[in-house]
Amino acid sequence: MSLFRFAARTSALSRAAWSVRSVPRAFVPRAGYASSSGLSKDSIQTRIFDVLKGYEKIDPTKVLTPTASFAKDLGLDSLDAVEVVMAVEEEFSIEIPDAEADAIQSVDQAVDYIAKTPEAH
Amino acid sequence: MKSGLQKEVLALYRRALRMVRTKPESARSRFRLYMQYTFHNNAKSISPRNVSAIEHLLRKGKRQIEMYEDPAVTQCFVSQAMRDWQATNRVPPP
Repeated sequence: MSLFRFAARTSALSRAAWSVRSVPRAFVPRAGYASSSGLSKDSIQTRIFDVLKGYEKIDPTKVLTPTASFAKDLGLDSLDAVEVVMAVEEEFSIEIPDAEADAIQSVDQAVDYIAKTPEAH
Repeated sequence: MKSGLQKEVLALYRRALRMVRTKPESARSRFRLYMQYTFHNNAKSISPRNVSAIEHLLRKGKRQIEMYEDPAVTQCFVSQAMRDWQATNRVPPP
């Protein structure tokens, strides 16, 4: 028997199964993968604040502001800033490329970056 | 604005910290301390204008990190000086 005949026969046999499969199903709402990310700016900011409070060179009792700059307000040098950005990466399980990571110099910049990164969660 | 040399140092530091994440959980803090101490200490002791010294350390560091990235490396030496540095550079817990 040729392969094509065999293929035609098997498809004829399974036609009953196809008709079952084509029953229209109700639309099941799922996560909106097209939206920027499921995180609100407020929750991102709280989580970044927690990361900063957990960092050993920042006084956890210090009041953090949403616009705090790593260098000017938190007294971190550029190496510390790298550590903080890496800790933020870990918190949101993403990897920030070098060029973007260098540009993050304050809390609000970090929040903006996470908000526009769909992989962050 | 950051110079090209500073960006290279920061990129190397990032690579070093990414390497730490690949190490076994139990040794991670030792690797992390080693890297933090080495980078911060060198940054403090060398003038930002001493370009040739920084370039030398960059080359040396790259070779060293390549070696550490080997999965066979699972332990890291931490000296007393590093532990002392860690104790003085931390905000005491309230």
